[in-house]
Amino acid sequence: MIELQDVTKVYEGDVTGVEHINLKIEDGEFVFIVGESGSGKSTLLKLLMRELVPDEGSIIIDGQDITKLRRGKVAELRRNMGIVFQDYRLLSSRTVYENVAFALEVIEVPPKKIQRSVPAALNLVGLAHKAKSLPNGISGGEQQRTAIARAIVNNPHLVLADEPTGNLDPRNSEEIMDVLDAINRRGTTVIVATHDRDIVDEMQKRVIHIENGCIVRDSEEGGYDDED
Amino acid sequence: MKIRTVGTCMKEGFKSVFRNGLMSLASIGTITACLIILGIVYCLVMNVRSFADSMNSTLGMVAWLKPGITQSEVQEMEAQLEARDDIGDYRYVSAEEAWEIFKTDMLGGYEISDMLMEDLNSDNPLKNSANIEIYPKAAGDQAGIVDFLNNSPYVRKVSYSQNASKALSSFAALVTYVGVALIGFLVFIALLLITNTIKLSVYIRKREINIMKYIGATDAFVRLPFVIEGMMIGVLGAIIPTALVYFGYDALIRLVESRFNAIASLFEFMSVSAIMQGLIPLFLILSVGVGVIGSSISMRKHLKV
Repeated sequence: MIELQDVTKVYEGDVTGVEHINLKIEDGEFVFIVGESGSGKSTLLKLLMRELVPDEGSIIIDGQDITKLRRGKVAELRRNMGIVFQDYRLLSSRTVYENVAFALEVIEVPPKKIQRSVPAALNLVGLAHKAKSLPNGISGGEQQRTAIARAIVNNPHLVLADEPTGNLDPRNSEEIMDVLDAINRRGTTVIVATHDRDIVDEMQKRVIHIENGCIVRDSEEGGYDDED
Repeated sequence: MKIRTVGTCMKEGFKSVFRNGLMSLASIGTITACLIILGIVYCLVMNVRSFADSMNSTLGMVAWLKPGITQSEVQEMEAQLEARDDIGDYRYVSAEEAWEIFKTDMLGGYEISDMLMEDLNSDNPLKNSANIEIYPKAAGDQAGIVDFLNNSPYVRKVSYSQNASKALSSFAALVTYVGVALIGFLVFIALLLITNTIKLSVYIRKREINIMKYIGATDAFVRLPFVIEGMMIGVLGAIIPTALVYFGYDALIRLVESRFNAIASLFEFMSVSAIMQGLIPLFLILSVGVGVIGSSISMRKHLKV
């Protein structure tokens, strides 16, 4: 379970990131964090992945307050979460397979386990046939699916996706959301920050709306602009 | 960290040295230049110190023993000298031996009547001249030994050349300080260069580092290839200076010994092996140290993700 208690983050120059955020996300939930650009969605995700530390409040993930985590323990925390970015962040010199395997290599997983896990992850995102392709030789949607495979190959409890469809056309966006939905159905908590109205309306999941760093709406199920 | 991972990181580090071709070459070149100068300075400092020490050890001191000192007291005094590690050599000269030396050295050319000589022999005029000649091991040891002798109950007076010893010690110290300052400066320059090379390497692999951090790589895992790259640059930069100092110094000694006899007779050079014994560890520590520190400095910013 994830719990944010009165979390505030203010950037240099007195720019508010998020303010007095109180939030609970249960295991296995699928949550959209929506809002305009600069509203605080990405700040919230960066706080969850411990890229940022709040100025006030606590963030508890699986019973552990990650704001009090020593720097050396951050790597351990991130091994239990998969992170997906808008710009995919793939290594252009490595194949699809190698990009996914890289996630396991850096956490020192034995080679035999890598050989088993990577094809399974590629199958899940429907990219087994592109394993030997380089990122530049596949479409944006396929690149994002590769990034998702990399995020889930270690079977994390939590997947954080920051604008995963931001660079994609509607058809590819839909495919990406289908993949994330499939991952969620396996029991993984999925949190997606987006301002893509169509996918939020289509999915009808929990929606947390942020404006100027504050939560203005938290609907258990609904579309982008639905009222409670 | 697993051995397999260390192997992978080492491979990456090696690859980086070649990937950054020209920058690596520039860094290796600078380290080479720095270490050559450092090697020359080191040889100079060590030889000056050795010269000062050897000169100082010839500047012996004489501890004049108290009149009537017994044989067992002399033995005790000798045991005390033996126990000290700052004494290179010592020699006890009894009153009788002192008189014999005096006779040979001073009276050898004079004709003295047998009767007078008999009188002198029966009543040794140097009966209070029993002494111990002491030679310190190194420059700077003299003061401590003099202090010890002055406090000894068996010694009535200590004769030594304070000024010569002090001058030699000060000169050796001055050369050492200048040498250390110069070495420090050169290390700083090398550090700057290596830091820049690794910064370039980090910049090229910025994206990879960023991804590694997000997928749970530890700082050590991310840092190791760059540390190895820095070490490699350092070690490669140390190879030429080591060879150059080894062969150059050897050739110089041979040249001086064969062509400049006057210098060779006055000055005993330290052997090549003695120089290399100190220089190789120094080169290794500096080159590897500079590599490790340089890469750590370059990485700092990129690990804060």
